[in-house]
Amino acid sequence: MKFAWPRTFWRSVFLLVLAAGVYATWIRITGGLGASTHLSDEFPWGLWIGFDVLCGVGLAAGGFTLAAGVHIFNIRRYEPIVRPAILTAFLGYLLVIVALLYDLGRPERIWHPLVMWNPRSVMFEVAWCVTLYTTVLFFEVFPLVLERLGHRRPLAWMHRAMIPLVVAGVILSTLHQSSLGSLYLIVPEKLHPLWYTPWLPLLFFVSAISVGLAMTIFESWHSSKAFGHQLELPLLAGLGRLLAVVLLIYLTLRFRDLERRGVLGQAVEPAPETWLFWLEIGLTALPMFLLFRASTRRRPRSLYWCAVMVIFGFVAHRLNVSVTGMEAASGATYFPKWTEISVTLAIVALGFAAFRLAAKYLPVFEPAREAAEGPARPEVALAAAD
Amino acid sequence: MTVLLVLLTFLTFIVIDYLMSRRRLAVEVASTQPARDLEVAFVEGFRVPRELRYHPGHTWVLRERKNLVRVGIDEFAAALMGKITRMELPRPGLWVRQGQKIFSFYRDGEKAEMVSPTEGEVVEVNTEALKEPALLRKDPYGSGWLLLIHAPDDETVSRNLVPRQLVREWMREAVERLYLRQPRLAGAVAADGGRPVEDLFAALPGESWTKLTQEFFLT
Repeated sequence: MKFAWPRTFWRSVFLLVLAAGVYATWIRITGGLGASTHLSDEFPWGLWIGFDVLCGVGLAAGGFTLAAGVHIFNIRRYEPIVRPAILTAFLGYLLVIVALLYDLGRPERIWHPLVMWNPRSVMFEVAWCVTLYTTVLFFEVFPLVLERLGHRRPLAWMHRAMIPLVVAGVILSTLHQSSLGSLYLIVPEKLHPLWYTPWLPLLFFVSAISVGLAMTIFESWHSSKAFGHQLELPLLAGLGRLLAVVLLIYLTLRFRDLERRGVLGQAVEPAPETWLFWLEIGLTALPMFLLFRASTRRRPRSLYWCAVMVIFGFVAHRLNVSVTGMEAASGATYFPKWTEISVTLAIVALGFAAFRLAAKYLPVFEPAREAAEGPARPEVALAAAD
Repeated sequence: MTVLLVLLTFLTFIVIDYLMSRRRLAVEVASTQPARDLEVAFVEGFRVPRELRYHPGHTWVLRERKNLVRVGIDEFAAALMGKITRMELPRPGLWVRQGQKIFSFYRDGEKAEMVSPTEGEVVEVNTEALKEPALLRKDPYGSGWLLLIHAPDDETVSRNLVPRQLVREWMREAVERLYLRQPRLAGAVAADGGRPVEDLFAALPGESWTKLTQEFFLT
């Protein structure tokens, strides 16, 4: 009991954050967006879209990245870390939807895009893709429940459907990860030149792959500590090397784009945007250089801090696109209200708590039991009987 | 400034969590004592404490507390290597895998390697043993320990160690295999009441130190 206080500390923090989030939710429901946010007609998208949605969807990208690697490209050695990554993705998408409910002026109409089609709208595509991908993730996570309950026959059916599901998930993810960037293609005059680019969809997609890998390392580190599981360091080191390559591609694209559009000079002008631009670049470039070194990848702590930097660099980019880059043109200065911060923190805290509960009651860290386990034995028995 | 707010908020949480786990580990490491009374059993004259778990490559692991283990080499390995002049150990922070070659020992320009009996992150290295390699032979289960390792899943890795009920048989087989190479050694052991000589290798003329250790340490 001597060392129980860190757990008690985090439980207290969780309860405090949750209490503040519940109160903020009450203000949001009773007072509307005006009472609960610092948003305005000039600045309609703030923390809830910039962080909860844009970052949330990206941070959940580890699911499709690893599922594609293992199930489509058949890199089976990464199988032990697929399940936690898919669970993280599923919870991440659920929480993105919850966050969206806060930001919508009429949250009860969230289902409208599904029946009132506007195929020319990027947001329509994002709404459909997120809905479908969350459904796909549900079916990818559901085998854990079946395994836990010991239902082998439906588990075998689910396993047979896994490859089509994974393919659908990868296609849907590719579509909407990039489409989130496409949302900002309609504001070329409003978004700062350091961030506005026709390549935004491509940059959003590549950065989603990088942060998906980083989140897998981040989640594995914390799971190892929290649940006493072995850290799959050789696998994570492999992910670290891949991450370095993806970051190199991302940075090459980023600077090639700035140079192509002739706005590289704006990156040295003394302005708040410049500082935040270099913060974003620094948080991407530094871990890239470090991860190219084998000695960094061999040390779990170094690998972990590199993953943290990549995540922070990604968050900085998404918030620079959605908030920093929009401020100057809108003429408004935006800083989130305490209620916005509380709701965001509560959503993140709920994500951690849900993951912990799922890891406690579901076989998240166990290797996938071959669905054939059930039917395979009778087949062997029959063959023997023949 | 929203960017800074978000990054600093999450950085605060992450740093607090990191420092708390570091502090907890540091307290746990500081509260462990390398020298303790181990219930000693003898197999063919070699000490084989019962509390320890052994890797077939002649390294041992002692569970200090949950997820924290102490690691060293057994007396058979220490006697076989004899007068080593220098050794290399993995640095703190490095992740080692069970069965991975992590210890290097040097004698007369030759090198011997030994494997890790467990998997985890090295949190402390016995600098005294590094300075004075003779400690390994003098007190392999006490002041001659080599590493403290944070092993998140020490239960799983312990399944690959020599089962407790087979330790005596395993050690006896290793000793007999060595004595078959030089029967004189058995006599040397018996000379002082059954304890092995300080330097078993010295009694094996014509043998290659590296090859001999490779065979017994599974490297």
